[in-house]
Amino acid sequence: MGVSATTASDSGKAGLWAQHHHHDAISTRTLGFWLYMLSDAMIFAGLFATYAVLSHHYNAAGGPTPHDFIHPLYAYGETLAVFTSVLAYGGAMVALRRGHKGGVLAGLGLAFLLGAVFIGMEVNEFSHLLSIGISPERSGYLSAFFALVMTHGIHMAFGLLWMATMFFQVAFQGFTDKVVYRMLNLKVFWHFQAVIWVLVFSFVYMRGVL
Amino acid sequence: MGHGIENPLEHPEVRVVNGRGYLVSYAVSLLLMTLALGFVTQPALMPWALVGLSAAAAVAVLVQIILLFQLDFSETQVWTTVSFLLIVPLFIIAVGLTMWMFNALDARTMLAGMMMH
Amino acid sequence: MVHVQGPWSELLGRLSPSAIPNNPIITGAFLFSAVIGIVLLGYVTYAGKWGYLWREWLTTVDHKKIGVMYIIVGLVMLFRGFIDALMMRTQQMLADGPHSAGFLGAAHGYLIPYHFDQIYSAHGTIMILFAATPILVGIMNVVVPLQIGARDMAFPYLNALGLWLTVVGAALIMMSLFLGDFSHAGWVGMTPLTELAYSPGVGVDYWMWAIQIASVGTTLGAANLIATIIKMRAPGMTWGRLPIFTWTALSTNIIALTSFPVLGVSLALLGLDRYFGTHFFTAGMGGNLMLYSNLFWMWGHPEVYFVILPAFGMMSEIIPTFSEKALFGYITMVAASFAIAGVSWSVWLHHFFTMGASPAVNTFFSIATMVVGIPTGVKVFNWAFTIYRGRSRFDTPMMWAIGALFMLLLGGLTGMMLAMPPINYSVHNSVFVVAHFHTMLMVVIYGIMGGVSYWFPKVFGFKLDETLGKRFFWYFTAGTIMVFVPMYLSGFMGMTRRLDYLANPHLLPFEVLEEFGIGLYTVSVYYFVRQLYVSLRDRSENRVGANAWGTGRTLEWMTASPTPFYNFAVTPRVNARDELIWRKEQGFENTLPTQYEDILMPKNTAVPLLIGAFSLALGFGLVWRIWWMTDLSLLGVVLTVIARSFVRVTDYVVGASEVEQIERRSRTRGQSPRPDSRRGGMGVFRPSRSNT
Repeated sequence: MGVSATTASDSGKAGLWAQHHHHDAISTRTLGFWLYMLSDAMIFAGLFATYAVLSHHYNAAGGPTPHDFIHPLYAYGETLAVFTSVLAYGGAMVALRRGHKGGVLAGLGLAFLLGAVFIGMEVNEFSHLLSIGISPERSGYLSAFFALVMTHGIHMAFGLLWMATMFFQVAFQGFTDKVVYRMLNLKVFWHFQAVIWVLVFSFVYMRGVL
Repeated sequence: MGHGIENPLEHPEVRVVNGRGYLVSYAVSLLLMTLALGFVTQPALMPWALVGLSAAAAVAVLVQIILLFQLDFSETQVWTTVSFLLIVPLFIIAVGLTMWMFNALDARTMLAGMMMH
Repeated sequence: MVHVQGPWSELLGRLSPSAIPNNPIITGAFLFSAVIGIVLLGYVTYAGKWGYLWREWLTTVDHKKIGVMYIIVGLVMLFRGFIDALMMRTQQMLADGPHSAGFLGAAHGYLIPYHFDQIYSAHGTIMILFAATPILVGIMNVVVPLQIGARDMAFPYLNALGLWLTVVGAALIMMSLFLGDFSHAGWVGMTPLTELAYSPGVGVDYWMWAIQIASVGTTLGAANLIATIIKMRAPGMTWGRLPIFTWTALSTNIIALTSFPVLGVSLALLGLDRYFGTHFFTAGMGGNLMLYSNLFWMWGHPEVYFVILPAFGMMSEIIPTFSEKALFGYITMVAASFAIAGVSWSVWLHHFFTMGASPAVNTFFSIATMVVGIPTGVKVFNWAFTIYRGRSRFDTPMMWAIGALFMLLLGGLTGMMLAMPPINYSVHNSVFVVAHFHTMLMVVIYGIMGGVSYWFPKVFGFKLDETLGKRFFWYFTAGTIMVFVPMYLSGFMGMTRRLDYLANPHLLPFEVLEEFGIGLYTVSVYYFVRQLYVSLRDRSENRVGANAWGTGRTLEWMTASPTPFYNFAVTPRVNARDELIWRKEQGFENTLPTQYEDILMPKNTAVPLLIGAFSLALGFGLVWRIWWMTDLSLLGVVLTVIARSFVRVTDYVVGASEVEQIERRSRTRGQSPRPDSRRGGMGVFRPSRSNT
């Protein structure tokens, strides 16, 4: 082994070890959360499949059918609330890009309020249905209806809880790495609920009256 | 790979957000949902209601996904897009094959007979 | 909320002294478990190891330790599932024909039908979800970050959470043995038998919540592993250089990520039926009981590939190492893994061909099922060509890998038979099907045993005893043949599965042969335990260096054995698919980094353990319908998660000089670095004299 081997070894050393190698924490976090949201999408796939199987006439077991209790116009109001809430969250994201704390808080607050309007409308709708005896125990169809719509509603409620948490974190911790990637993840979560709502509104509410 | 970024607000995933995308997505999806509502409430449009409704929903979902999640093949978003493209067929398979097999099953069992009444 | 039969109180729900089963077999099992538990706890207390246990294991976020704990949980449950199998075989041997004797209150054999039903339900649930799944997740946890040159998983905290949720599921199943009972409706939970009207007890609830909670953990783990593989690879670790086991881990976790949520849906809807009186799967009121089978198998079939793909991956690592030859057909191997994962999503109906869907539907699913054979065949040929003209050594891991190859051949061919609806109609629900899927699961078990013995020295720094390992292999293989060949035959003769009494005495010879086979299995279990004990006792003679088998090919064999807590002192730069072989050929095998640097590592945390404890309370409260307990524990989970999000600093820095010291110590001793008692390292089996 002469000089050449040493040189080879020296030149090789640079290619053997990666000094100061770091990973991008934010994009790792957001990818991980995105993957989780995809698995959440499969929950909805299961629920939509269930709804499709259980939405025939005979699944109503002689009880109320969608024609009897579904009001697309009311659900259109809910759609408006969800879409506008997403737009407000978009405002928060634009403010985040500019590093504008007040704008982020305002956007979060508005998105929270509109989300709360949605939840309020849904609670109102369901309590009305329950009061006139339209409940999930009545038939297979109603079980599927309530399960699908309420799973979306529970997601929305968790989104609100998360938003409230982020409001405090942005206000008191500022834009740390952790706060920023959580804002990005909450963005994905919240927008995902809007996408699911489009499907629920179309294939449960509007399809229901056809 | 986005190494060595000190300020998280400089991160490409924060920079990629754009206000116009939000406005377009809001306007388009609201318009499509209104259109779909027209399809199901106007008796004249009833024959095309299911097709119109499904098309509107599909486009609205597509617009929202692309604009709100900023899906593209840039270095920042490529994995988001690829993983999303992998899940779409699974979603369709799960719902579609289930509908197919149960439609076939219902036609062959007494459930379909009950529907006649 | 529906009303349940029997007493219920605000404070204790359905729990009452009558929940404790009065059965000599269960009492015996309880005493056995209690003695083991007391001995273990006593030892920990006597040796003053509580602090060590807490710091090094219970609160750890180190992917290697979490992996080891997954494997330990899996092995304990594997033992429990084995005892169930032993009991079933014995019952079927004793209860043949009208003149067979009855013991312990049973008309035939020694188990009453209800108890027998619980045993086969528990056996299936445990073996699939609490033995195979955790062990595989554990192995992936240990190996994948090492193979891609990462310091830990992408989300170490989430990783620990996944572990503890799995443990909660296993704990609920073990609890059901001594408090209440377990499901009697098969591991798949046949509707409407699982509905409250037909299963009014807590058994189905135990089954349902144990799986539900554990599957949340598996889903989180899957997202974690995929993110790790995509984002945490060392520089130069391109997709074309990714080790094959990591590829299979990626494909298998894509399956887990997308299919486990569907399982969650099917069980949640069943739960709504049982708790709120809805009508998803009821036989009347507009429910559709086949919908349950549909949703369950939409997860269930991908789950089969979830367990088999990592086994394929381990075979693909072991065979090249012991053939001293690069894997044949790397690219086709990767493509085959993803083809299997993709097709796994359109075959699930073959589990219920007899439902009576239209011929078109059955044909579609039949063809899709047969298509799986193509990529699997590609894999078999690739392994064969890897061995061909290689320098084969038959160390224990290689024996298991070859064994798995033969099991795959047998299981795959019978699978092709079952994929044809006409054959399927005639053998549906027979033990032929049982023999088929056990042969397939043997591929998984052989892969697991191979993988465990292959990577054991990497994690612990010493090899398992070869002689005893081979004895274990041969007894296990003999047992497999003796149990499952007669089972194929009797299944073909029409023997139905899940029988607590066999009316046809002509089946007795088969049952006797199978009982003999399970006896061989029992001997193999003895050798397995003895192998662990002897290897542990003689560990100082079996110490290994970084490249434990001498012919390792991938990154994990470049760092010390046992691996230090930070995995690699300096992240390696990858230059080739078989990096270690490349370095050997270039003469860089012993080239060390010239300078060390500070390393950022995740801090230990007790939060995952706490969330696990709340989840256990949640599951227990749900099973017994103790509503204050469920409300409080759910609130506890949510508040803990929120509180944790306010913790600002979750990492700490290991100084460059400390890293250098650890590395130098490991080199001068010719073995691994001594674990730092504060922060980890695999110190559990270190020699007692170095315990200060």
